[in-house]
Amino acid sequence: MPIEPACTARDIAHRFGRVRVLDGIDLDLLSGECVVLHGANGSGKTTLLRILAGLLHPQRGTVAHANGRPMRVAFVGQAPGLYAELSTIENLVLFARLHRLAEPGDAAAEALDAFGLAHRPGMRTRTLSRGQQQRLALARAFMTAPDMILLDEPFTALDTSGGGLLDRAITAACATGGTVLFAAHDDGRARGRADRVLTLADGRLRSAAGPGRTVRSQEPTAERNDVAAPPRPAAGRGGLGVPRGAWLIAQKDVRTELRGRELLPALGVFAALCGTVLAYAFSDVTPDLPRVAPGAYWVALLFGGTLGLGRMIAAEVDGDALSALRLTGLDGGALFLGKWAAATAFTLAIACVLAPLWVALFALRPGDVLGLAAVAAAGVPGWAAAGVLVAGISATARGREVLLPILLFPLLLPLVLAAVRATGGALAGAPLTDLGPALALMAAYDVIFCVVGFWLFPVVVEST
Amino acid sequence: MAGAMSERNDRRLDRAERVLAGAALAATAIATFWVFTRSPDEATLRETIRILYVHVGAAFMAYVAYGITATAAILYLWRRNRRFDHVAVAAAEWSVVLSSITLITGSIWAKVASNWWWQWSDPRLTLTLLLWFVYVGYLLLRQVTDGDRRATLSAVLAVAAIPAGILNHFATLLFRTEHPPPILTRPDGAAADPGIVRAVLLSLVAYALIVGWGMLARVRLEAARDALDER
Repeated sequence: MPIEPACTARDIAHRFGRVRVLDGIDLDLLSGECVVLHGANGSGKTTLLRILAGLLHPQRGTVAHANGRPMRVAFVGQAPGLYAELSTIENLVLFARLHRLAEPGDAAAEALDAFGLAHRPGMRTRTLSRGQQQRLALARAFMTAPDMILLDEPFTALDTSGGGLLDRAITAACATGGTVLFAAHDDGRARGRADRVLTLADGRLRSAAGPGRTVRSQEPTAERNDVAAPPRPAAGRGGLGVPRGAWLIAQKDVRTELRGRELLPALGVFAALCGTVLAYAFSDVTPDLPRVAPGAYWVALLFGGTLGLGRMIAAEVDGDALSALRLTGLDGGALFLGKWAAATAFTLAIACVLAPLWVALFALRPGDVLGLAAVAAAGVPGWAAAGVLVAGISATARGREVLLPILLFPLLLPLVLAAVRATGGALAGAPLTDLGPALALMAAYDVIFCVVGFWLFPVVVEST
Repeated sequence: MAGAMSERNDRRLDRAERVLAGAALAATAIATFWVFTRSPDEATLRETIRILYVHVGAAFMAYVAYGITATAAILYLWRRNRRFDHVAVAAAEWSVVLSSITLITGSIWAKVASNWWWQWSDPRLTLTLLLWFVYVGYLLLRQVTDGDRRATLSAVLAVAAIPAGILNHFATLLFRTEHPPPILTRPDGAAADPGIVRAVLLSLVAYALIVGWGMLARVRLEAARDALDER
């Protein structure tokens, strides 16, 4: 019986600048087959894998899945794509939930066991060795029993034991109809387990039968029968709903920050330092410090908050965790809302810490703390919405640390104008009706940029 | 067949560029002549009214260029056709140049008319400054990104700038109250001297032709660069 291809690629071409790495690739990947992809450094193996995974749009050509239905695809690149401050089990449970597995805790524990990490469930990922992180990334990939697994040089960081565990996982996946394609250097071990060997050179693909099997058959072979195929966990196709997905992302960010304490203390000190310098500078030219307090407050908040925002988004991009998130089917809008919620929470925390400091630095009244915090609560969500979107835009650009404020601050000008006006009015004890126009403009900014961010962030994520 | 059509198209565009260049030079010459020899002095500003003719044309075309950039960006995100990206970057570059002229001449005019170089209470100058920064950022973003990512990310930024510009305009109108004195209409609302209005219109036509010529050349350059990269 002819076997339908699980994945079909036709006329795939892609270049980076003037370098054409793929030039007319045609490829059929069958269900249950294991394929190894060889090629020299820079031959385009990673590019081809990312195109097949749907993480990169080819400049020419198409990739189609069996019967046109969405496939569950897993990809492990050369970066593990893990969250450093989460433990091994927490990383897997997060992705199990994003993949809508029925029993995320059990699935995560089984995956850890399958890759020899069961004795380290509580260890923070950043304390693991490179090889252990690779095992964890592979555990995450195989955990959901995906239809297609794409691995970029998976054996490179693994020791003999880890390589054996990966072998077992590949065999079990193929036994249950999954397709495995992995890139490897040309060595005997890689060829020995493959049904087919592909060689990528000069942008073209050559295929040869591997020593594993030359004829595809529906019956499992003796080599595959001695490995127990894990039951496929009940996983939904497509991503989580937007609210649930956003909640998981926000929860992950808050937990990461509370564990690592990388951002909040440093940004709080930085914002306080901004205020100190401004108060010192202004005190030389005016005795009326309360008058400049609103502007200084918002400058300090924006400077400090923007530094933190850059780090929050970079954390998703640098370790390639973003690719793993995309493959869960998580809606880009959900990712935006989760990041927005976390950024808003962190910056409001800094705003509340700064408020009493401002009373001291700018000779305000103790009761002004409430006014400062209240106006911050009205303005920070809008800043966070614009900030998350622009941080996403700049995340993959060269010189992103400098680029982010250059792109963001002009967009914030109307918010700053309204926020400073509202803060000044609040500190002066103006009635609420006087603050109405400023607060209304801040509210309009918040809503408009939340909508714009929700709409455009998926476009940004897809181009990352 | 496709090659022959492409050559015919190139010749057509070459001809259009030459025509626009000639028209722009002629219009600039006529406008310059008219401004310095035929346009009247204004009652308050006297001969310094001539700054207005450079300022108004630049400001008007800067906003037209901003609008073209934003529209082309939306169309690029919708259709993913690189031609829209070429139009967007050409318009963005012109918007930065024209905004620079607007800001400099606006400051000179404000100093002469109202004795201040810059006033945050002027909503038009503030909005022009905001958009200048946004589009300088847009061009910087394009310097540090490549390929399709460059086109997509810069289009997203251009679209995000639309509500920021609108909100900034309202913010300045709501919270700041000073405006420079009217020139094209009198305080009683009547139209200004016809000679002044004519000079403004001539400078507008010259600016429009210069920008049209410049944008066509720039779009063709960007398309040629893309074609070279694809070989």
